[in-house]
Amino acid sequence: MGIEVRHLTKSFGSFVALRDVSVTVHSGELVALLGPSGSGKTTLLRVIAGLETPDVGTVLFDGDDATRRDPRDRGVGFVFQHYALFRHMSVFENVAFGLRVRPRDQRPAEDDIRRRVHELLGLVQLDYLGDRYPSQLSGGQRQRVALARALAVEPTVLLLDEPFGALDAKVRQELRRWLRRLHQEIHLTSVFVTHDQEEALELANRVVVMNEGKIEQDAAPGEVIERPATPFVSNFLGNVNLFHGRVQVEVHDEAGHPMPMELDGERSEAVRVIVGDRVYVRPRATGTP
Amino acid sequence: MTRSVLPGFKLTLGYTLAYLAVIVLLPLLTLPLKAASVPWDQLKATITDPRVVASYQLSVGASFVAACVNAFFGVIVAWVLVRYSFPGRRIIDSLVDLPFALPTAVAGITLTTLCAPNGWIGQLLEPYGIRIAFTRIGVTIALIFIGLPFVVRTLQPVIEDLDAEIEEAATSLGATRLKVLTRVILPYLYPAWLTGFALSFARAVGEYGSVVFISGNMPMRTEISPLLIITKLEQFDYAGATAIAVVMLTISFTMLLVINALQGWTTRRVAG
Amino acid sequence: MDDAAGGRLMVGTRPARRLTEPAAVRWLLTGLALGFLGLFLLLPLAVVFAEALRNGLGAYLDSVREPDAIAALKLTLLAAAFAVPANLVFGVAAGWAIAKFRFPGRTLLTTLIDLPFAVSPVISGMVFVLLFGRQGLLGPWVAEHDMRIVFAVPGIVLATVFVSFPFVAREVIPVMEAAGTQEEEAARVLGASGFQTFFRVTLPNIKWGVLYGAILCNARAMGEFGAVSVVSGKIRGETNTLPLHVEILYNEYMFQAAFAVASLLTLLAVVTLIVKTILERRMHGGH
Repeated sequence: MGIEVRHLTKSFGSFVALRDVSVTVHSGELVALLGPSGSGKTTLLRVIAGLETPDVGTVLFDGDDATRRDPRDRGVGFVFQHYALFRHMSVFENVAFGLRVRPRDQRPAEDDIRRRVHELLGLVQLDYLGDRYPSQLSGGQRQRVALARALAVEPTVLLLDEPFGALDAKVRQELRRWLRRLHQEIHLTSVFVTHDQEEALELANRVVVMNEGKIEQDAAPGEVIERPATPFVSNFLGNVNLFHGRVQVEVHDEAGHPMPMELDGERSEAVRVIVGDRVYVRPRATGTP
Repeated sequence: MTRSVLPGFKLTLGYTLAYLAVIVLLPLLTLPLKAASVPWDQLKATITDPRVVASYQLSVGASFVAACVNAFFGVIVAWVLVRYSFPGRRIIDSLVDLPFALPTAVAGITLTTLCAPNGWIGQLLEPYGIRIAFTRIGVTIALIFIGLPFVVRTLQPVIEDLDAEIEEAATSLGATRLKVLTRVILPYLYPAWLTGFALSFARAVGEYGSVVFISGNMPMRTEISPLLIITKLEQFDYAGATAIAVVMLTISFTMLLVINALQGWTTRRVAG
Repeated sequence: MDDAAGGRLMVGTRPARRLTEPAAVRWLLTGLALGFLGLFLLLPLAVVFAEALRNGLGAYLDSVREPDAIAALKLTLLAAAFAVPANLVFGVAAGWAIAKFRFPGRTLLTTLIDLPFAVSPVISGMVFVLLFGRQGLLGPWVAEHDMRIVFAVPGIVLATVFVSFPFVAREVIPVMEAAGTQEEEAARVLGASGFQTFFRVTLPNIKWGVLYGAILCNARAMGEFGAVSVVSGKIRGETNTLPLHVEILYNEYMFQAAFAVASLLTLLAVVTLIVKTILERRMHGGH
C-alpha cells in the first residue's frame, strides 16, 4: 500500500505542529521520520494513522482519499512508543484483540484465532509467554508483543512511534536488526518515527528529516549524509562517516584452487560504517566446486 | 478543540451536562430566583434579625474553633499514623474516616448521649460544673467530630511524600530534631494543612444532623443557621428561609473558591 | 553521636532507616493522637452499641423488627437503589468526557460537579421544596398532574440523588485520567468499536475506582439526614428513612430503640470503611 500526504497543516491551539508537509511512501518501503522533539514527526505519523485530523491537506492510501477515514478503516497497524498494551489482558489476549473485536461475519473461528496468535508470537519469539501479563514482561518483550498485536490484523501499513526509544542500548540494537529482517521478509510498507539518526540511517530505505513542522530533506540515507540539503540537516546528522568500499576475500578449496565468490547481503557495492559500529563480513560459498 | 479519535464525546458530554443541569443546577437556581422575587427590605430584615445573626455567629464561630482543634490534633494524628508503627495502626487509620461514613443523625444522638449530664463523659464533668450538652461547647464538640477526617486525610499523603534526604541534610547541618520539625517540615506542610483546615471549616459551617441534637436549639444561644432555615420552612416563610440560605451559600461558595486556590497552591508547592 | 537537645543522628555501622524524634516525644505524640481518636471515634462507636443493647438482645431485635423501622429501612434502600446506579452512570459518563477529551470549560465542569459538596444538607433539601412545593417554581405543574413530590417518596429520592451526586465522578475521573488514552487509541486502531473499546479496555482499568465511588455514594445516600429531613413529611411508615426514624425515636425518648436502629446504620458505616480500605489497597497496590 502506498501512502501519500499532501500539504498537511496541523495546529494544536497556537502551536503549529505541521506546516504544509507533503511526503510519498511507496509500497514496500521502510521510511524513517527523523527529527528532534517538536519537529512534528509523531504528529505526521498519527495523522497517517487517523489518530489526528489535519486542519488542511489530504492523506491518500493507494490514491484513495482517506483523510477523514476512521482509524479502524485504514488498515494500519500502529505501535505506540510506550506500547499501550492492555494491562489487564494476557499477552495472548492482547495479540488476539484485533481479531476478537471484528464484526461477527468477519471474525475468524476461535481455532483460527489461536493459530494466528501463536504464529505471531512465534514470529516475535515470545511464544512461551502467552499467559503472562504486560507488567511481568521486560521492555523489549512488551515492544515485541505490541508489534505482534499490530500485525495480527494483517495491516497494509505499519506505523511505529519511536518503537525502541524506551529501551536500553543493547536491546535497541537487537530489535533494530530484528525489525529489518522482518521487513525484508514481509515487505510491509512501514513508517517509523525516531530521533536517533543511527537508527534511521541503519534501518530505512528513505529518511525524511523534519524540523519545526517542515520537511528539511527527503532522500535515501546516503544522500542525506553526503548531500545535506539544508544547514539543519548537516548539523543534525553530524558524527557519521561514510565509507565506500569493496570487500575482497579469497577462498580456496582443499586443492588450493580459488573458488568463485559472491557477497550476499543487501548492499554489496557499499558498506555503510557508522562510527563505533562493527562490520561483520562473512563469506558464503556458492555453487559447488 | 481537536476532534479526538475516541468515540462518544458528544454522547457522554451531552448526558453529563443534561444530568448536571437537571439534578444540580436547576434545583440550585431556585434559590437566587426566589431571593430575587422578594423585596430587598424584607430580605435585609431577615438577614439582619438578631436571632439570625446569632445563628451565623454560632455556626461560623463554632466551626472555626472546631477546625482549629482539628488542625492541631489532625497534624499530630497524621504524623503518628504515617511515621510511627504500633499494633492496630491500620485499623485506626481506616477508622479515621468514620465521621465521613457515619450518618449525621447517628453521630448526633451518640454525641448527645455521651455528653449529657448522665452520659459517660458528661458524668465526669458534672461535678466540676462543666456542662457540654445543650451548650455551645457541645456544638463545637460535634463539629470537631464531623471535621476530624479532613485535616488528617489532606496531610497524610504530603507527609508520606516527604523526602528523607531533606531531613538528613538539615540534621547533618546541625539542626536539632525540634528545629528540623518546625523549620523544615512544618513549613512544607502548610499548604496542605491550611487546605485541610478550610475543608474542615467548610464542612462544619453547613452541618445540621450531628449538631441539632446536642445543641438544644435555644434561640440566640445555641441555634445554628440550618436549624433556623428549617424553622422558617415549617412556618412557610419561604422568603426568610431563602434569605438565610443565600447567606450560607455565599459563605460555602467562598470557602469552595478558597479551598480550590489552596489546593492549587499545595500542588505547586509539592511539585516545585 | 548525640545531639544535645534531643535529636539523634545515627551515624556509624548501622544504616539509619529514618531520622525520628526521641522516644519520649514519640510516646507523647502517639498518646495524644490515640487519646484524641479514642475519645472522638472509639467512644461514640462503643456508645451506639452499648445503648442499643441496654435492655438486652431481645429488646434490640424487637426494635429492629418493628414495622415502622422496617418501612424506614425499605425506603432508605429504595432511595439508595435509585441514587447509586443513577450517579454511577453519570460518574462514568462524566469521567469519559472529562478524562479522555480536552475541551473549553473542562475545569469549570469539574468544579460544578463538586457543587453538592459545598451546599449544606438542609439547603440541599430546601431547593427541592422551592422547586416542587406547592408554592414552588414548578408547584402548579406538579399539582396539575396530580403528583406529590415534596413530602413524598419522589422528593426523598431526588434529594438523595442530589447529595450523593459527586461521589462516583470524583473517584472515576482521576482514575481515568491516570490511565491515559493510549490503550483506547490502540484498541481503535485495531478495529474496536466505541462500545467494544469501552467495555473491553476502559472499564476493566477503572473498575476499582468505580466500586470505590459507588461505596461512598451509597454510604452518603443511605445516611443522609438534613436534606431528607426537609423534603420528607416525616410520616411514620411512609416517608421516613432510617436516619429520620432514629430522630423520631430519640425525640420520643425511646433511646434504646433509637440506638438499635442507629446501630444498623453504624454497621453499614463500618462495612463501608472495611470495603473502602480493601479497595484502596487494590487501587494503589495492584498493577
